[in-house]
This record gives sequence, C-alpha cells and structure tokens, in this order.
Amino acid sequence: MDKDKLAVLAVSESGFIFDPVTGHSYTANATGLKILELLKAGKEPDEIRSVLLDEYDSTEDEVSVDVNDFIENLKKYFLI
Amino acid sequence: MKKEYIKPYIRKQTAGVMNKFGVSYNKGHREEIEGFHIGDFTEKFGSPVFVLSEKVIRERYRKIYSYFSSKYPKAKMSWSYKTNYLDAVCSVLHQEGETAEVVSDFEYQKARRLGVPGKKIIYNGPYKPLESLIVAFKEGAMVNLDNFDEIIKAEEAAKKLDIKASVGIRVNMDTGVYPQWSRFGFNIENNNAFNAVKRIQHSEYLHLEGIHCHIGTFMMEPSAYKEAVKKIVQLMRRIEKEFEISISYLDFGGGFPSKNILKGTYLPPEVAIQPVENFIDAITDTLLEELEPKEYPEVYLETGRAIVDEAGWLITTVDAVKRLPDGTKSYIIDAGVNLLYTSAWYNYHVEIDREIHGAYENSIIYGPLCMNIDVVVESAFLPPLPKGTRLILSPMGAYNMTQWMQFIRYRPAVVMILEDGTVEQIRRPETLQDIVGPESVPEKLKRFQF
Amino acid sequence: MSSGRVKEYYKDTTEELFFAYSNLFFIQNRTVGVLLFLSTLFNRNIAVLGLLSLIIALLFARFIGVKRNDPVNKLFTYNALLTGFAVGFIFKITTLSILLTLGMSILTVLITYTLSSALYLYFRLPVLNIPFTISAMIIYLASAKYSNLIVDSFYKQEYFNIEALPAFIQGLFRAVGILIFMPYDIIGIILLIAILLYSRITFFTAVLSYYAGIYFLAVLKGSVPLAFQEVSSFNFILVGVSLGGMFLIPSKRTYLLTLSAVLASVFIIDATSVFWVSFGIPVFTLPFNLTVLLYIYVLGSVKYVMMNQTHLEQPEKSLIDHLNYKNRFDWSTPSINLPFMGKWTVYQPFDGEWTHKGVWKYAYDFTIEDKGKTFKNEGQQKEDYFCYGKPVVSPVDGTVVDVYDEADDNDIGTVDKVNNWGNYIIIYFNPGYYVELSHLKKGSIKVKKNDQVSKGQLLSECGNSGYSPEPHLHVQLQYSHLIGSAGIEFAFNSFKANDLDLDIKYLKKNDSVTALSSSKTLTRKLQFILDEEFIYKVFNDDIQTGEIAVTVKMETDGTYYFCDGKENKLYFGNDRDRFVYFKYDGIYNSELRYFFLALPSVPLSDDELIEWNEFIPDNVFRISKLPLIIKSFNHKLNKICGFYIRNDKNTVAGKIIQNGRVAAQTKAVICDNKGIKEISLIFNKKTIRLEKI
Repeated sequence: MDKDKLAVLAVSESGFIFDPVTGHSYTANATGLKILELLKAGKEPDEIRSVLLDEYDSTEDEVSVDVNDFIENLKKYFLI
Repeated sequence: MKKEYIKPYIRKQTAGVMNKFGVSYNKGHREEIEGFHIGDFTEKFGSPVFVLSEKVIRERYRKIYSYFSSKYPKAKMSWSYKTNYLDAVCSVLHQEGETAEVVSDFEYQKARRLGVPGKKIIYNGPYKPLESLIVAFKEGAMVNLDNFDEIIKAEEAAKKLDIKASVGIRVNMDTGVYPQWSRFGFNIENNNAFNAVKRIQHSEYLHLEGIHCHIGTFMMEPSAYKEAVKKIVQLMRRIEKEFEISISYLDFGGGFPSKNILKGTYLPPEVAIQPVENFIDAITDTLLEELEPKEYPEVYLETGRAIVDEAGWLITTVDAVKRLPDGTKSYIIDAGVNLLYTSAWYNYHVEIDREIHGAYENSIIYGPLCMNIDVVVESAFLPPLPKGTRLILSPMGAYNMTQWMQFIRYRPAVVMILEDGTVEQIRRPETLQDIVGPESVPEKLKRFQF
Repeated sequence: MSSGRVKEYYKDTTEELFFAYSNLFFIQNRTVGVLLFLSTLFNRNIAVLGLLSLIIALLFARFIGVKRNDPVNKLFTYNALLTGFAVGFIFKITTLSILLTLGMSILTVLITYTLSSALYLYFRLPVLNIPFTISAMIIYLASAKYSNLIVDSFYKQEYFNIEALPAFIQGLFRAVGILIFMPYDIIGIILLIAILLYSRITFFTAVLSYYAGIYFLAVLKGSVPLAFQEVSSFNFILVGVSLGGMFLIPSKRTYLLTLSAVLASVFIIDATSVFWVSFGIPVFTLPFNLTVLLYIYVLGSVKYVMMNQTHLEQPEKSLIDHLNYKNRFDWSTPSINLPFMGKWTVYQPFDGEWTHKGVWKYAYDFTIEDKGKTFKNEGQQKEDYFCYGKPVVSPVDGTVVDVYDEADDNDIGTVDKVNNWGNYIIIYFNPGYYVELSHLKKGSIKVKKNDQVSKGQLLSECGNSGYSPEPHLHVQLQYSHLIGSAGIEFAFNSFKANDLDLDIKYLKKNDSVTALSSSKTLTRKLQFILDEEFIYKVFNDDIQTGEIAVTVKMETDGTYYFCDGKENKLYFGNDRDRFVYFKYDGIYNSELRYFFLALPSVPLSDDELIEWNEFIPDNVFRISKLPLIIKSFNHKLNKICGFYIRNDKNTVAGKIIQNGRVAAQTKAVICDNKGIKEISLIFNKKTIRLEKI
C-alpha cells in the first residue's frame, strides 16, 4: 500500500474526494469514507473489518468481502 | 445499537458518457409475482425456476383476439407450438379456443397426444416426413406446403390414401423490410408461388385451399404486414380466376414483438416496440380495403411471442460475486445460457427480490456453465448484491422453454400460477434418469477397472 | 295421340269429374268424389241429369275458349252439378228436362264466371255456390210455368230411410243427404262415413254445426221436433264445413267462430225464407253463402290470425302447414345482420330507460365491453373506449340514401344536443325499410348517397358524435328515409347471443352478440340445381333395405324441392343466412322426412359449437298417435321440438324432444363437396340410416 498516495487525497465529510496528483475527483458513501479514513490512519484490513463489525449491523463474511472489494476499487483508480 | 450497514463504494466522476448498449434499468425491486413471494417459489421448487402466469396468458390472448375479431369478421387464431409447447400452456390456449399450429412431426404428435384433433391442427414447416404427411392428411389437418419436392411428397401421401387432399402453400415476398425470409415457401415475385398452385391443381390428388406466410420474427414495422396482405390478396385473386377455385383461408403467421429489448437497440421497449394493435390494424385494414365482403376468406394469425412472452419469468439466485480485473462487477447466477436461448438476442429486464441500498454500477451477470460464452446479461445497472439475492429475469415465456438445451446441469422446474390462486409445477426438474434414459452402452465397454 | 298422353288425358278428365262431386262439400279428394257419385246412382234422375249438367258445363267452357287450367273450372263444375241435381230432383228424365238441364248448365257457367270475377276483384271473396243458388231459384221459378213436367215429390224414395233410427240422428243423415238432393238416411250414412274417412275435423265441424244449429232453432222456436223439421238445416252443415275446416285454421277459436256463424245463419234462414216462401221457392243455400261470405270478408279485412292462406285439401293438412309456418318462420318482423364484427354488448335495448322511448323505442345501442367496463384506463378519453374507432359494416344489401359527416366526436363529459344523431348513414333495403346507423366517427364514413352497399361492407367507424355520452353505435329500422323518424320493430339474424343462443328475437341490456361468420363453402355445398340427383342407400339397423333417389325440382312458384320419385316433396331454400326446409308435403312413409328431421335448418356459417332449436311439424315426425283433431283444440299440445348442436364443420347432432322427454336422436353429416352425406336416426331403439352413394 502506498501511503503516500493516500495521504495526498483531499477528503471531505460529505464524501467528496479529490486527488491533486491526477486531478480526478471521486465520490464515496459513509461506509466507504470510514474505510478510507482507517486506511489513511494506517490500519490493516483485519483491523478495519473489526471496526466495521463493531459499528455496523452486518456479518463477518459480508464485511470481509466488501472491504476487499473496496480496496480493489481503490487499486483500480490508482489511489493505492 | 449498531448502525445500519450499507456497502461501501467509491466512484470516479466522469463527464457522463452514455452507455449506448441498452442497459437494464431497474425500478425498485420485485418481492412477489402475482402475490406469491419469490422465496415461496424457490423454497418449494428450487432455484432456478421458470414461472408462468395462466392469467397473463389468457389476458394477452383475449386482448389480441378480441381486437382482431372486432376488425375482421372471420378472425381465427392458432397457437404457435414452437413458441412454448409445454402441455399446460397449450391447454390454456386450446381452452380459449385456439387451434394448434405445428412445424414438425414431433410437434404434430405432441398436439395429437394432448387431445387436439387432426382437423384442428395447422401443419407448417419446411421438413415434413412422408409418414407424417400421410397421418396429417388422414386426420384432416391443414397442411401448408413449403417447396416443390414437398408437393410431390404430398401427392404421394394423398395417393396412398386415395383421397383428394386439401392443402395450402407457404409464400414469401418482398415486404420492404430486411431480412426477407426467402428460404421458406414459394416466392411470389418470381412466380414460383403461381407455378406451385398450377402444379397442385394439376394433380388429381391435391387441391389448393389456402395461402400461408410468415414474414419474420419480432417485427418492428407493421407496414411489412400491409405489403404481405396486398401481395397475397393479389395472388389469391389471380389463382381464383385462373383455376376457378375458391380460396377459403389466408394465414399470416406470427412475428409480432413483445416488450423484450432487442440487443443493439437504444430505445426502451415502451418507445421502440409498436403495440400489437398496430400490426393487427395493418393486416385487417388492408384486408377490408382490398376485399369485397362476399370474398372474405377465413384469416388466421399464429401469434406466439406476443401472447406468452410477457407471461413468463425466471427466478435465479446469485451464487457468487466477483470483481473482474478491469474493475467490472460480476455476478454468477445458477441459470445459464443453455436455458436461455433468447439471451443471444435480448437484454432481459432484471429485477431484484429485495430492496438493496448502495451505489448502482454496471455489472455483468454470468451463468454457472464453464463456457466463456455463458453471459446471461452483458450489462445490468445494479446495486451491490449479496450472495443469495434472487434475481427475476423477464420476459421469459417465449422460446426459452422449447429451445433450451441440457448441458452439464439439470434443467429446472417450470411452474404455473393458476387463475384460482394456486401454483402448480407443470414440468418437474430433470433427473439423471431423464438424461441417461435413452442411452445404451455397448457390452464390451461396460467394464472398466482402475 | 300417344298412349301416354291418352293416359294423362284420361287421368286429368276423371279427376276433374270426381273433384266436382267432392267439391260439393268443399273437399278435394278423388275417393270422396267417387263415393258421392256412386251415392247419386240411388236416384236415376239426379245421377243422370247431374252428370249431364256437369259434362255440358265443361264442354261449353271449352267451346267458348276457357282453358283447362283456368281456376274458374273448379268453380262452375260443382255449381253445374248442383244445378243438374236440382233439375233431377223435381223432373223425370225427358227431352224437356234434358233441355232444361242443358240451358241451366250453360247459364250456371256464365253466372259462375261473372260472379266469381266480380267477387274476387272487388271483395277478394270466393263465389261458393251462389251460382247454383241463383240457377236453382230460376229453375223453380221458371218451372212453375212448365207444370206438366213436375212428377216426383220430395220424399218419394222412402226405402232409403231407416225408420228405426231416432229422430235426431235421422235429422243429421237427411240434412247431409239433401246436400246432393237425396235426403235419405242411407245416403246420409254413406256420405258421413266418406267425410269421416277423409277428415276427422271436417266430420266434427259438420256434425257440431248441424246440432248447434238445431239447438239454436229449438230454443228460438220453442220446440225440438220443429227444429228437426226445418228444411234448410243443411245450411248449418255447409257453414261448419267451410268455415271450420276450410277457410279458417282449425282451432278452439275457429270452432267458436263457426258456432257464431251457425247462429247468425239461423236468423238469415228464417228471415229469407219468409220472403222466398211468398214466391214458392226454397232458400236453398243462400243463408250459407251470405253468412260465410260476410265472415270471410270481415275476418280477411282485420287480418284474423287463423285465416287459412293456403287452401290445402284437408283441414288437417292446413293445420300442420299453419303450425309449421307460425312456429318456424317469422316473416312479419324485418330482420338484418349485425353491423359490426367481433363481440359487442347491448348498451341500451328496446324500450331502454334513457332515450329508447315512445316512438323511438325500437332501437339498440351497442358498445364493446371487457370485464364489465366499456373503457380502459380511467375512461376520460374517448380513445379509451374499446368500441371507438372500430369498423361498422353494412347489415343489409341496399342503397345509401342519406349520409351526414359534419359532427365532431365529443370529448367525454360533453354531448352534442344540436346534432342529436351525430354522424349517420341511412340505407334503403328490400322489402322497403330503411336502416339507420348513428353516432359515427367524423371523417370515417366511406360511402356516399346512392352508393350500393352489400352485407358486411365496411361503411365507417364507431364514434362519439351527437347526443352520445360515451362512444357507442345506435341501430334502428324505420319506414322513412328521414333522420329522426320513428323506429319500427326489428330483429337480428345470423348471430350468437351470449355465446350460446342463436338468433334470439329480443335482446336485453348487457347481452353480448357476435355475428356468425358466413361460409362460402357451406353455402356452396348446400346450393342445388334443377334435376340434380342424389342416391342414398337405406339401412335399417345396419342392414340395407333399399335405396332412394332424391331429385331436385322446382314448384310453379319458384320454390325448389327434393322429390323422392313418388309424390312427396321436401321444399327447401335459403332464409336469412340459413339453409332451411320450408315444409314437407307428402306421405308419412317416405324417407324424405328424415332429411327434415335430422336437419330442418342450418346456419350457413363456419362457426362451430353453436346450438339452435326447431319446431318439428306433425307430418314429419309423430311420436304419440294423437289425432290432429285433438291438437286443433290446443295448438301447443304435444309440441315436438328438435335441439341441434353443430360440433364440427360438417356434423350436426340432434335430439327430438316432446313433453320434456327425448324421443329420438339424429345426426346429419354434410359432404365435403356437395349435399348431405349421411342421415341417421335412432328411435324406439331402432336405427335408420341413409348414406349417399
């Protein structure tokens, strides 16, 4: 994970994300923002999973899959 | 109290390029079909499962028939078996008064077995074995001949029975649309049709009774039927005058569209597909314009798709979720293109069985087969679906349940929601015995040892 | 002359002669005629002079050029015969009486010819035996001057009487006998037996009228023996036989009317005889003639329902014929086809509560319904209504006399009160009615004034113009070509009501109607040409017992009939889009009856699964041996009805039902090319089958 890339992202509370490097903008929802925050804070996927499980009403399987999927998405956009 | 969980998403802002290949729009979700919960179907009959509605079939038929009969005095309809020949479906339409239209000896036998008398069967198709022609003539079926060799075959059959058989001919012509189905029947423009009649009338065992045509499938343009009617009426007059006979029926086949979305079209079906009434108008208005009342022959329509397509759904389950390397979301469901022959032409309407919050994205729906071509829906705009979500694909009523093939998996159950509010299985799921039943292993191959 | 023609000539002449005798009683029957002739032989004078008078009359008629087939022949023959009898009654056969007969016979012919023409032309009345009455009176008046010729008196031949008989029976016999100038018991018995054998109804009316007359006389004169002595009581018998059995259809009402006529004739007898006695001559049959002519004239003018239109030889036959036409055909109500295709519903029937009232009560409004509603969506737009824009076709073959296409189609919620009828078409058709179709869609009318239209031809589309709250089609028949005229009662033909009943006469609100599609093929199959012949094998319980050849012939009035080689005729034709057998005329012992029974009528359409019923006349099928005379009292007694179902294009199955019980089952199969292929009948556990070769 390239923390540097993550670090430069401008993230607003309303879900708007700006990458000054590429100039592209993105939108994310609350859950997505949460994961992004945790990633920027340097947390590993397992830790992120536990946090989400604590906070949200879901199952371990679902959260697992979704977190991985989200990270894949970030990779797709070259944000990680 | 934990917060409600919504799947995370992130999406890049783009300048909004429209996806020009028709995307399935999903408006809300579908928890039930005609009052029955999706879960009830899958619980009782498994997944996937085809669902047909008796009520919709009857309503669609009645709507079309009552419109047709209010615009032409001798209106008749015949059920196109090839569209869906499940016994239960055919029975519904026979109960409504439709005769049977078959295009092969197998379909003929199926209709007879169901209890349709020979006199109520229209026997079309380019390949009719001699034996089946003999049976058809004996039982009084309405046979439409396709080519000169078939005329000779028919003559032989009638000769064997020592009768003068009444037959019709299938014709084709330029109706102004593409493609012209010129491989079926006798062409009018190059005079083959007239010569065919000459040959038939010349025979002491055959006698021409009617003219049949079937100009295409999923037609978009009613004016094609107008052209067909005009040309056939012209031919009819010429034949009646030349041979001093009286044509008693004209059969304009089928080909009316349903609300399915053809691949390669950009507009939604509500806009792109003309209502069935326009096609019927094209036929009946032209008939009334061209004919005198005392000439009026019986006119048949062999509508299939327009009656049954929208009466069928497929319930299927999402078994796995996969994000492809290029980022596209894909789902693997338990029904493949072997069950869905029409997937080659249509972009199905996709509905989800529950409300799912989340961002919609373009997804591919794959079937369970190990073939790369097994793509059920190329592009569906869906929210993130968890494993186990049921999807309801439609319209499914036409052609899938006749052209499906058994490949590596058993074919599923077909159920019908009856008008009285019950659901009955009209075709059970296949078993191993169904498939190996016809097989036989030569003796020397039976034993093997590792 | 060839032998064939000689035979025919001989047959015709003897028929003419013997019919003259039977017509004395208004009976057309050779056997009765022969019996009457033989009876006259009991009195040589009467027999010879009667026959002489008849022959002279015929010769004279031919001499002056009256053709053999001229109907007046049937009239002067019996009149001349009676004249001859009158001479022979009072004179012996001498040169002078022969001369008298000659002259009177010729006179009778002339009087008959003149009177019958005048009476028919001015009053449409028959001449009955007035010529005889006049001739007889002349003879009596003139013969007073030839007193040396008067020889025999009235009751000379007593040995023909049976004194042992009671007076009231003798009265009847002698009254009958005196009708041929032979008032003797034995003659009367012979004649009554002849009449009884010929027709029970005629016998009944003769006897009933005689005794009724005697009863009236007895009451009026105050003495029964006096009544029996009334010389002219034979008039009662003639009144009874002619009114009760010939000019009117036998029925309860007819019998009552006859009795009233007998009563009336009593007074005429008494009044006229006072007058005539002063001249020394009897009134002969004058009271009968006057009474019956009066009755016939009045009953004819008021179109009395039991008038006998076709004078068949026997009252029983007239009754059967009358019941046949009354129960099976209604030609008094005009009938048209439905003016649209597919299934429509009655929105407003005759005498409907909104606008079909008063002089416009005979009209129908139609619309199309689905699941009880006439529109889809909310019904706010006229295009939502199912019948809007649907084709309207011509219900008749006729000529367009008026068209109006200027009115706009209303939006739902408004009506046009100015152009009440909206856009309309009026068509004239035979036999002289106009049909009006209105509330049509603007701009859709495809015909104009003076266009000829045929049944089923597209005329226009259903609209919402005029006083029309929602799209519908208005249909009415009228006597005038003007829009807004009063409607006349009519019915539709060739349709199914409520998917079941064929051609019902009155439609109710919400009845659905669907036109039967006409079949070119079936029409062609049941179209026959003169001299066409069909041969059928006859099977009784599957054993062939014979063959019949059915040939197509044409009657003098143009009606076609099937003939079986003997005198039996089965008349057929097309009526209101149906192939029908109009009637059967023949003996009971003919297979032609089975054709009628198995298929009395069939709609000329392709529609299958249709049912209809038909009245079966008594001469086609008899289940109970009830004599027709009993039936004449109650025409509905033991009515036989056939219920037919068409299961497929060529087969019709029937059940023959009487008093709720199925008495027989029938089946008729139509050929693939022409005619009827097979008829079968199961009756009393026996099967009869006819198969075409």
